Amino acid sequence: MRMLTQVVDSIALWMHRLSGLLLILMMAVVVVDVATRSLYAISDGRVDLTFLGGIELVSFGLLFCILFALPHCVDKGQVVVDLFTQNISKVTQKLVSGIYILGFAALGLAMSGRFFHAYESALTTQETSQDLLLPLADIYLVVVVATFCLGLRSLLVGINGLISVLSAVWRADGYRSAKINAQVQEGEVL
Amino acid sequence: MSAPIIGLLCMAGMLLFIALRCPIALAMALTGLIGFTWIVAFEPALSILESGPFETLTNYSFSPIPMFILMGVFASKARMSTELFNAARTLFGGWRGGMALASVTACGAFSAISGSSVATAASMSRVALPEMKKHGYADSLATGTLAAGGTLGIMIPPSIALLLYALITEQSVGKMFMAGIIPGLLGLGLYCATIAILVHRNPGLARPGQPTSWREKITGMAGFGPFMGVFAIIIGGIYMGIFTPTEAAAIGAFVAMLIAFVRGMRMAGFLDAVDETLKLTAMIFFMIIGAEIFGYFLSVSRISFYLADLVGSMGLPPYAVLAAVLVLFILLGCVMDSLAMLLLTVPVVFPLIVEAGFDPIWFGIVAVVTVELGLITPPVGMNVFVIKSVAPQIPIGQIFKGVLPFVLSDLLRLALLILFPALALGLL
Repeated sequence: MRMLTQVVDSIALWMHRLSGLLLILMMAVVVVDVATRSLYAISDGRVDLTFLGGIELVSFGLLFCILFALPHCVDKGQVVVDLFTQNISKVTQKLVSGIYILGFAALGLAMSGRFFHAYESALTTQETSQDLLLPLADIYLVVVVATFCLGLRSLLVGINGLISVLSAVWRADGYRSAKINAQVQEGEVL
Repeated sequence: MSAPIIGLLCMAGMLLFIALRCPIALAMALTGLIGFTWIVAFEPALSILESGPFETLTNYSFSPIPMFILMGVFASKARMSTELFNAARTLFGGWRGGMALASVTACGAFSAISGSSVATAASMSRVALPEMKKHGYADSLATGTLAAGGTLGIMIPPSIALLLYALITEQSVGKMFMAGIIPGLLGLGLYCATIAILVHRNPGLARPGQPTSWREKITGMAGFGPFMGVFAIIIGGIYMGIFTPTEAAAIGAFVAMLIAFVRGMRMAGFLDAVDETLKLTAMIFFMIIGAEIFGYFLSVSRISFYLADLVGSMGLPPYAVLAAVLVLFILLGCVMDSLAMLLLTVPVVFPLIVEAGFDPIWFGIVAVVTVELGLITPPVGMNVFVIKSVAPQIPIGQIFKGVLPFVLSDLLRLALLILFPALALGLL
């Protein structure tokens, strides 16, 4: 379990880094697109370095940038209203957080399943994107992997969170029982 | 059971989940799925999980969000907040409360290249708070000024909140940004007036600083130059149709990155900026995906139209409808993050507002000003907690006390915007 968690965590971290690279590439594509367009306009069409598909590159760049960032960030960047529950014990708060992360696991795995259907149907129809004629099946396949990672990492974070909370509770119970047993043996609790 | 009733029940369930610490993104997505299954069927509900996220994440209109965030983060890395504060301090430094005025002005200028209130408050407080402390400013004035000044980031364009509102309600991003300029500057002016009144009534709150000559003031104003330049490129470019919002955001981020590198940002700082941007972006997109799934459910439940019909049949005057919506915003703003609140409530209340005959762009500005209040009002004033993290020794109660006059100033701005819609629509 620990090894699987480490492997999935490191895959999520590499996906996060890839997401950062995509973000910078998106920015670069747009800047180059604007620069070449401006050059074309300034030179009255004599210097034409413009290229097709800038919008599509940015659209799919955004898709992969966000999907690759989600697995690493699922347990870090969630907006939670804690006003009504701030007085409950830390143990309960962690328990509840673990359960909710399992909700993201369900969502991620269900999304992965649905995208796999989309991949199969795109494979059958040989659909492509409009401008760059990218095969949609390949795009869906990457999405399947990314959402599966989201689901798997959420599942592991949730399970590990629940295990650590429950084991802490059991340890505390065990400590209390041992303490009571010791006190009983010493004749303090009678 | 009718679809609108199921809609109301599911929404009540969602609010209960949110109150029980459920992440807002998950609460919206699960409510959307359960509600859609209840009204339509399970299989179509599952297909939302494919179409909803795919359509959202491949939507070119959403691409400015990470780039505007990146621009703000690079601006922080370039220590632009220090330069702004120093420029503003030269301008006001000699006056009593001059440093507080400088802080608010610098916040306003920083907002012109950062779309996030929290980022603005965090960047400026690290620079201005120690200076104000050193010069004997009262904790309440220093912290209140910075917490309130940070809220300008959500209104002065480019603003992530205005961008999101425009995308949710299908309004022009360029018009939305233009409409935010005067209300943003009005907020800045009212904050300055609030500081002036506070130090006039209680001179012990702040000492006068070193007087500066007119020559120094004019030279110091050069510090605002790069910000105004980037701002003019972004807003002017979008408004004149030269750039799309995505192009403006990418160029802004690129220029901010170059400035940061020129000012000594190293590779570690660059990677740190990208990492920070991704975490913030993921947080926002988790909610956007949740809102998209929730939006499918809202459509089939027809709850927005049901509410619009209900309000119409009650014969309420339009301003009563507006007041009810704003009270709801203020209450939710006390417990909820501003962007989450916009994503959650705008799809529901927007048809009511349009039905009541209000301008959608004007309402966007009014909504964002109201949401802004939530950033500095107890118990969950996000900016207040940002200031608290920079100055942990100052009690939170002291910061909220310092923020109170600025809350009154925000309420005055809200009243002015409602009374004079031209303040928002005049530049369109």
